[in-house]
Amino acid sequence: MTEINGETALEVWKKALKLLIEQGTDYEDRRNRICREYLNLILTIEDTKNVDKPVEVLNSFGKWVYPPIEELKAFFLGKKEAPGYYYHYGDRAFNPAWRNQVDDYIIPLLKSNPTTKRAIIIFYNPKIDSYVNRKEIPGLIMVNFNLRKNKLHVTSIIRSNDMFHGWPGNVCQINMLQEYIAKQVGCQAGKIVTISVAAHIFDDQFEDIEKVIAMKEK
Amino acid sequence: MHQTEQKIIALFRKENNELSTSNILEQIDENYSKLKNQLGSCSPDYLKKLKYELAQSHRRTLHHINKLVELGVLRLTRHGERGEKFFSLNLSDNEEIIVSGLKKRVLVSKPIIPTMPIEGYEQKAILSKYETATWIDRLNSVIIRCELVNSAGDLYNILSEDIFPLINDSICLDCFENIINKENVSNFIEKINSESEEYGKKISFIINLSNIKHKENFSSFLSLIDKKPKNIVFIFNLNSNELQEFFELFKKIVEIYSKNKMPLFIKNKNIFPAPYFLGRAGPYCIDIKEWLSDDIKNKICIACSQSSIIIDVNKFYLEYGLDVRKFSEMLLNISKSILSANSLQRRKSEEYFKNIILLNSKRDFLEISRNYIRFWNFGLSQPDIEQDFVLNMISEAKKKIDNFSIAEEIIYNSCGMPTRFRLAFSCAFRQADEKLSPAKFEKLEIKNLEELYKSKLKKEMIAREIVSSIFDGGNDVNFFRTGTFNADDVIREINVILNTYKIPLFSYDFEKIKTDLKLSDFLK
Repeated sequence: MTEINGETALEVWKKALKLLIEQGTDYEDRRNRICREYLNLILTIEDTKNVDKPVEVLNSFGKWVYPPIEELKAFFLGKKEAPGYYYHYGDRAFNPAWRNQVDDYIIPLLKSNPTTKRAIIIFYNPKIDSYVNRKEIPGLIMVNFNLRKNKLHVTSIIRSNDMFHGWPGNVCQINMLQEYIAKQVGCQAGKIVTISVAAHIFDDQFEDIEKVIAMKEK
Repeated sequence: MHQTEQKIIALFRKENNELSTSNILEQIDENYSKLKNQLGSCSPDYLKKLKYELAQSHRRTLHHINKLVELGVLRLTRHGERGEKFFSLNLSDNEEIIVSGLKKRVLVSKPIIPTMPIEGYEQKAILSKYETATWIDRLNSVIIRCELVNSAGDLYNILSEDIFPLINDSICLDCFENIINKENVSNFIEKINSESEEYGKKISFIINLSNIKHKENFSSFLSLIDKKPKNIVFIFNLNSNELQEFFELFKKIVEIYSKNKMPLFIKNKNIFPAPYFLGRAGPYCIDIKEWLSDDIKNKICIACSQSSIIIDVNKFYLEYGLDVRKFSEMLLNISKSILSANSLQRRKSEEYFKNIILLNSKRDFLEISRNYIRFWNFGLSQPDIEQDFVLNMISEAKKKIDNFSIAEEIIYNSCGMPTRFRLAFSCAFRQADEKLSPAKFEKLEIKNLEELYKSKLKKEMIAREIVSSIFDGGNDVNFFRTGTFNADDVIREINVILNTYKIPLFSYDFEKIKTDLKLSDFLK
């Protein structure tokens, strides 16, 4: 387990990328890409105010189109499974057919028992996902909420995490859910902790990663 | 929905204005105008009868108008001088009517299309969005698996209530012989042809000759070709062996098409075992491997294409010359624009495509769909453009676009949002956009079997094979049959094409055939 702490999302992201570039282990993945991996990486963002800064940095490259914030939001807070995606986080968190884990569980729980340690949302559904030939399964397995001193802290477990293209979007989405619950409960958003079980980057990203690491934080 | 109500809505869509009850009556009921014209020149006894009939007709139409007012589709705007009622469509800005069934009126807010990096090219008419007004909130084309539909009646309901309002180009009815084998489809085809004309959609019926079991129903189906349905295309899916096996039946088909001087569409099932069909914008097809996957086998309706862009290559050439870098840059910008269109569409798909979602047992109907980039006047048999160079330019751009698509899918996947983003290349039809430059390619003419073996035609065919291989979204090759007609000869020619060339879909157009040998031809 390696821990990286930082005040902002951008600071934490840059430190994590540097660690991966310098200390990751290479292997070839099933899509024949060279993957540089670091197992069990814990990142803590103290202040979530500019959590979307890494997305802004990615967009500044102009080489690709990053999913717009509106789509990230609709995917995470949209309460129904939307056609066009292989799975849907919003559906898994909010759909009453399985269990509306947010409105019917987390929010009332935190309101009735603010110091609870039970406030978890599970995105992984073994009934659907635990099949050998299943094409895509969620990367974000669960999030845990702890309300302490009127601040709602989030800890999330991500089984497989592309730290360059994926993590910036992931923390934005986690923050959206954090803000949604904090507003309902009447508290402030606190820290975000991500536990990336298999944090990784790919060799075709190295050049751009070096550019991000070299950027002066604004 | 009652036919009269559909006619009334179609009239309001066309006129887009306030109309009185009499205006409506005159335009939707031919009999009303005829009766009205007789008013001044008939006997007093007949006049009484006439007035009674006119009043009946008036009441009937008013009944349907009132129903549409109740549904909120129309609104009463005012009473005229003699108390006559005036109506208009009950719409606000950015709203359009989708009428699904009798009891529902769904108003859908129009999406605001964001600024896209293709607008400069649009201003120069080098490219255009296919059906700009519905670029995001409708699909271009869908495929219906007829083997999963119980009857022609069910199919009619699916098309008219669920599908027509949601697409802006074409519908493919795959394996339509399954319906023919169950019942006589004459009534269904007449109704659907009339509706497809009203809604401005193309419908392709794919028919596997080898699966035809009910010969009587099939004969009456063939007789419909004599009526020359405008917006309907029948595509016969077969291979060389089947052509031999069903020689007599196919001969009958060829004779009907030649008699009516209509194009006969043939799909080579050995080369392409997945749906391949036609729209107003151009041809469509589905990736074979994806079509054969188990995931979509139980879905009645599956999207084939979401959004399309049409490029007039000749106009690009006139503006920039054959600038490969500029061409690739333009295509990359198109890809980015379509990506953001797809993103908007996905977010609203529940609202836009509710009826399709309800049709399938599984919700995702977009899992094998693509977006289309279509090319017009791309240098095929165009004397002033070096054909190989243009094809190579398109082919190179395709590689870059495919890499971009893969990269975007990876990025979306990395964000925990696994989705699909694919772009297919295809040719455009002239009807795709009225602003397209005049057609600059030569027609492919065949006079007899021997011509198929001549080097000139062979070269042309090889060029079309290359185009078909680059255009992974479909290509349509048209043979214009000239000379005198003999069905046996035509079938032999078709057999050679099926056996020799890698062309998935082609048409044999009989518009130019000569029925009787003229003296001038004889002398030639």
